Amino acid sequence: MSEQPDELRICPHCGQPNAVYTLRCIRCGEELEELFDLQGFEIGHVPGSDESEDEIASMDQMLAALDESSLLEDPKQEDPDSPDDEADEDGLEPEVGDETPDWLEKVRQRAKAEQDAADRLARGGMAMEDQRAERDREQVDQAFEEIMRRIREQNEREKARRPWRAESASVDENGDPEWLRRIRELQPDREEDTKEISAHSAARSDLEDEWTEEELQELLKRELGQVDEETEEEITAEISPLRSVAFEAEPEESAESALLLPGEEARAEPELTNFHNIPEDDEEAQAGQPEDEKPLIEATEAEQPAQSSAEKELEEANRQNGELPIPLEDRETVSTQNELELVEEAGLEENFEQPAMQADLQEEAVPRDKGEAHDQAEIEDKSENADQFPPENEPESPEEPFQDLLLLRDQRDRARALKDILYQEGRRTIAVLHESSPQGKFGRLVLGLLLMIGILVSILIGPAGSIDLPPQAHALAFQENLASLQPGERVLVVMDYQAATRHDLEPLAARVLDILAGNDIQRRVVTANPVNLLLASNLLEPAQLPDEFIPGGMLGYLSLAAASPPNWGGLPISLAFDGEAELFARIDQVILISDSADFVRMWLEQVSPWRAGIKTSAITTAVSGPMLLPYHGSGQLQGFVAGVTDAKVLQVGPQDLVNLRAWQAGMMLMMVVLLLGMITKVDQDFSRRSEGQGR
Amino acid sequence: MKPRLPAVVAAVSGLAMLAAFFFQSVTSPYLGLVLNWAIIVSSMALLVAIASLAVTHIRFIIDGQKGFLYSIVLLVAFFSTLIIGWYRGLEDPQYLDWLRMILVPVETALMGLIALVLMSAAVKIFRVRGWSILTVSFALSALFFLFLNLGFLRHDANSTLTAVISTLQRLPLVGARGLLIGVGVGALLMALRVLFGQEVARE
Repeated sequence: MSEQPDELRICPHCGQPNAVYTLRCIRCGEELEELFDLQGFEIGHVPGSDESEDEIASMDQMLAALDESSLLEDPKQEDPDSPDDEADEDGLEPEVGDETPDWLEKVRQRAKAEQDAADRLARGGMAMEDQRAERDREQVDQAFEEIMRRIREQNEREKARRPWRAESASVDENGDPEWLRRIRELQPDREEDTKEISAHSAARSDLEDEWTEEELQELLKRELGQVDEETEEEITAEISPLRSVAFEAEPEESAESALLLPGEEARAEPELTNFHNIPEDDEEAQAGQPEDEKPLIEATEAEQPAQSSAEKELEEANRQNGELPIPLEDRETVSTQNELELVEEAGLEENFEQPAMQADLQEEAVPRDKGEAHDQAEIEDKSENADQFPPENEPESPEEPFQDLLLLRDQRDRARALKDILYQEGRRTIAVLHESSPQGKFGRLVLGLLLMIGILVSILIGPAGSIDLPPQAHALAFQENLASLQPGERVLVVMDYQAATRHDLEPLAARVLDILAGNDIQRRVVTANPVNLLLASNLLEPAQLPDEFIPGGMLGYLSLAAASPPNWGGLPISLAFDGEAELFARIDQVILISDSADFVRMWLEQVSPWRAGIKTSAITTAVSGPMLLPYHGSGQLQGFVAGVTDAKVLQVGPQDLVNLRAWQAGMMLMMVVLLLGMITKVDQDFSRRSEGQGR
Repeated sequence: MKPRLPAVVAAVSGLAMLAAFFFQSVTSPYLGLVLNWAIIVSSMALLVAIASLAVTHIRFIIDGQKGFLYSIVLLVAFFSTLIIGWYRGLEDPQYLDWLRMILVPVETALMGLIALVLMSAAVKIFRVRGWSILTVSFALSALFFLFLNLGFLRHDANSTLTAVISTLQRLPLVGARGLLIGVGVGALLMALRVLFGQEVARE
């Protein structure tokens, strides 16, 4: 290319600088005709004038002057009325008579021949010039259409691949795009540089929308292969800040693309090299394939000459900012390493699905020396063998990739959660509830022995003891309700308790039955629990069964309480009764003997509402007492006595229920064990803290 | 249609019970009939469950699975009780004494084991659950009420102390009432879901 920039030709019509070989002005479209001017034949040049000899006339003008010259006029055509002229001619010119002098004839012939040649030359030049202008115009149109087509295709590809870029295209009130604002947030100390970059980007965005004549001229030169080095350097220098911005913004983009598949990552990489949006026509024409399909290494190698000036500017800018100069290739290497680590992080120690792609990335991640590029063949060879040999920089532990990653906290947490999920695959994460250990069995044995020994000792040594607890309100209410029964009234006694609680209930129930019998109150004992068929003899006469066995449990009680005998006959449940099938007939009160709070609750909720006039009270255990307190408070339950604590109300000695000393020993053991558990936990926590402080 | 049939039956039954409750004088005979049907069906289900239990343990014995000795004990006890009771009847005092002498010690021992398990749980609760509001409140309330029911305090000595203890003894009423209110609201919502067919039977 030419190294003389002053060879630009200035258009005489508009003053627009044009290329040397441009035939028409790129602004006004006028022809630049100096190429076909002849020296010594200038327009308006008159022989004998005072102008310099350098100013020459054209051939046509010269021929016209010769024709108009009196010296070349034909004497036969002279006017006879001009004797002065004849005398002058006679005096000046030799007499030639009728014959023209030879020299004049030669001059005329030569002038005529030269005039014909000039005409032919002028016509041929004009035709050639028109043809070349037409061809150039077509080339410009084709180049412009080609460029516009590439721009449209690239935009469509970007929109189709990464729709999130549409968000980055949004600009703020200052005209700064989204990506530039994010870069400024990441590196606020480079505000001035980014302002220049934003100016470039703004200019570029304008250029993308509206092409100026300079841009068209440059593109035309590039299409014609006539780009000089200076122009290319200018273009490269203009691109370099944008390229630096692209590398600075690359980690963030890499972080955003961490979740991409490796194939997508590799496809997205060439777009960074083509960030300037200017088509690499020469390389593309040489390669004969689209730039997106080129390998990354080839594209990088091809751009090295054009990046030389940009590298210098980058180094200078980095020195000004107090940073270490990093070559452009190294910047690509660093970014590629980050991308590789991000890919590995996204994979989370899983087998890489595309080892060939990983090998390519690893190969690019090899650091290069300054000014020393890797051999293309060597790189290709390593890329081919990368499937067989593991990469050298592969992280050994899963924690290493986290050190250099630029991830948001949320992204890091999600990656950790995913890693944990994958790491715990197939492992037991929930503690087994019934996992037994020898130590646990031994401790349980010790506890059992302690309880047994304590109770046995309390039973065997000393008297049974006594207890003096204040009477409860619900127990007093039960006593008052029992005392309110008048002779001749009927009480329904419902038994529903298990054999394990018989010692807690039967003394109280026996006392109640005695009171009922002493007051001449009729009783009717029923049960729906088969166990109570065996236990009824403890309350009644020996070998006496309850009066009725109600089949169906609570459904049987409900059926007897809610239903009335139909007119068409009897119900199946009436077969369970020897006599009258009316359970609640002439019943004034119901006394429930149950160790289950649920049974009492269901009775109160399901059966009692059907027989609202019948009062209900209960004899239950101390465990069920608290659950029945609300029903006593609401009036649904007239009163109840609950185990040992309420035995005093019915004048039943607690010693008749249980051995009070053994009972107190058991309660105290429970308290000790509870305190022991708390102390053990405190000691365990203290030991852990001590170990933590020791470490 | 098949998955919705149980929901429809449940909804119709619930509505019938509601109608029977509001129109008791008219519907009570029909209500008794329906309840008797339910008793028969549940009794048959109980018999089927007993048969299934026996068959399952017979299969355990045949296959020689781990713990088949317990299956043998169960089947022997079950069939001996059934056969002897069928033969001698429930009114036989000797038969009732046999059953009582076996049943009462076994269930009492089971209750003692429950006490032992509760002691073990009291030791483990802090080690497993750690320090939390639930565990600490449980421990403090258990210690307080255990000590209170031991009978070591003389309530008659001080009227103020008696009033304080009586107030504290009503604390279980608060907890039980809240628990029962929750159970009642839950049952009500469940009943409404059944009545409106929202509760579909799941396989």
